Amino acid sequence: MTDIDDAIESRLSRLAAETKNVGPTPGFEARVHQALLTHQEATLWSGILRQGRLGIAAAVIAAAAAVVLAVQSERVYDSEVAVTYGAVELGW
Amino acid sequence: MLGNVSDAEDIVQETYLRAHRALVDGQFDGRSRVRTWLYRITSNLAIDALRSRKRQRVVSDDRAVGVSDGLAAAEARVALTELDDWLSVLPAEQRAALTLSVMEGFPNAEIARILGCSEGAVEQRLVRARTTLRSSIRSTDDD
Repeated sequence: MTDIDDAIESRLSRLAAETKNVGPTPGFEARVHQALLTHQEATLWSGILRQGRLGIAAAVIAAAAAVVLAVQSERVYDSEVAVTYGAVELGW
Repeated sequence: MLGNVSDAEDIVQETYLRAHRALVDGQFDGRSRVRTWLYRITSNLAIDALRSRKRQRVVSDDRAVGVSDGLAAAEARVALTELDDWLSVLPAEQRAALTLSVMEGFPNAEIARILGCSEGAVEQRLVRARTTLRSSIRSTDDD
């Protein structure tokens, strides 16, 4: 090891020791806590909105299925009524 | 690593937010230890900040030091400024490796896990960092 290498190592060690006790400024933990809470709230709301959008999509699909089912049922009912009516007419 | 408490606090806060998001989304797979994982997020953010600082060439005067004792705070402030100025000649990856090794006392294997590279790459970065510091001392002596 040269003198320069020794100088580098001792300077690094000294700076490491002198900056060892450096900590956050007062109120840092509270600021982080607040940021986490705000982030958590935003995540919650976006989750609710996402779930809400899924709910609306499911409701639209269910409504469309219900309309299709209703139309089909009406057609079946109409044709059955027509057959019955025809049968009654035949009976006459 | 950043030589500036204000920047370091921003990075630590962002680390907690990212870690929280990753935990909520189930992205932390548990393959590494939580401490290593948090150091990895912090180091990546710090390296990005150092790169952007070099691009912007902005020197912040805000070097507030959060130690309670006034005398210790003054000493730490001087040491931080000295460290920041001295290590500013290093590329961000070398600075990160050297800081994790000398300041945090991590072994090379742990540094490799934190920085997401091989142990050989860590050794190379440390050697190159010391070579650059040696050159900077020589050039200072020549001046």
